[in-house]
Amino acid sequence: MDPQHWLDQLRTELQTRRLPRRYVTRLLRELSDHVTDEWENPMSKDAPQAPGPAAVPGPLERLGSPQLVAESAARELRARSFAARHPVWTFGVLPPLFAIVTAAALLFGPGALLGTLLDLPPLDEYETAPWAHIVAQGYVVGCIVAASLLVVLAFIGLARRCDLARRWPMTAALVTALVCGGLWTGATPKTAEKMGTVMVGLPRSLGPAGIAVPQLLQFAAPLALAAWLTRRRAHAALP
Amino acid sequence: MPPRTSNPPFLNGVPELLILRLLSQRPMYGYELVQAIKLATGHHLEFGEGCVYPILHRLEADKLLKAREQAAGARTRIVYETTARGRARLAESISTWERVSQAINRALQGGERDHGSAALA
Repeated sequence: MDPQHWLDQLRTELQTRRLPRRYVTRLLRELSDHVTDEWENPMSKDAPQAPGPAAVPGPLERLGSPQLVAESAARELRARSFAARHPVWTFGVLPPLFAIVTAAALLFGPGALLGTLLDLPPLDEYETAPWAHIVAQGYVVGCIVAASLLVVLAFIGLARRCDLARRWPMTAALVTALVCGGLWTGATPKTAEKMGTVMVGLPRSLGPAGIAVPQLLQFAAPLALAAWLTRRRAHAALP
Repeated sequence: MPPRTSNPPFLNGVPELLILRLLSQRPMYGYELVQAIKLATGHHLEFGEGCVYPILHRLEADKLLKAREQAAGARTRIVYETTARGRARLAESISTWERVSQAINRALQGGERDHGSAALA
């Protein structure tokens, strides 16, 4: 194989693995230097390249296949990531923090945006409408569940990119589920006389009596998503 | 069967040990280092030469190695050398390697049988 073709193939392999452009440039530069040095070295130029039982591998064979080098580069780069070096911090501590920030952003962001853009007047009938409280409560619970799902998805993606074991995204899901499931929520809609309220906090009483359906949902949703997305595929191991 | 161009899994950590050892003797660029590994190991280790560079980059990111550009004629080479942290890691790795290899040698020379007979006695 032509050295330039080998380098082009390697570039394609590295790009397929979505390695950072700067890293790809550096690696290709050094490997290009290596090929040049190999070519300039009279010992290696004289080495036979024809396949055969006693043939000495040629310079490109000695470098390894582009797939092998690209896989090695991707593996080493994954091992350098913060998530791979500090999985306890990454998957045990950060997910609940991100979940709370995301939930707050979902909770107050769209509401503030709608209020600013549309300047909706409070409707008196909201106070008496039975569905208004359910919708308000559902919105708050939905924001928490959506935040937990987004965070779990992000950390599953991170674990996959870093090639980490299943236990780490499951840890992220579990701590997120514990924090989100532990949140008690309450909401009342805005009326002409009263400001709307959103309450998020810890349950008033611990134990089974203090757990409500929204909390169960907030707890179960991230765990179920993580379990589904990281399930082991038994058939994948079959030949 | 195509020739194997990577180390078997049980040699994990060995390339790092060799790289740190050779670079602790003198700074080298990639190609020079690969030749030094082959020479130092008597050509007994099979490895994809291209796979040395990602390891060098990781060791550099871990601050065990330092890279600098050096002019060589019309070209500029990237030359690697060990840092103080790299030398400390090397000492640690050599100690671990010696302990493991002694344990394996003992096992291969019938350590279990000796241990068993000593226990019976």
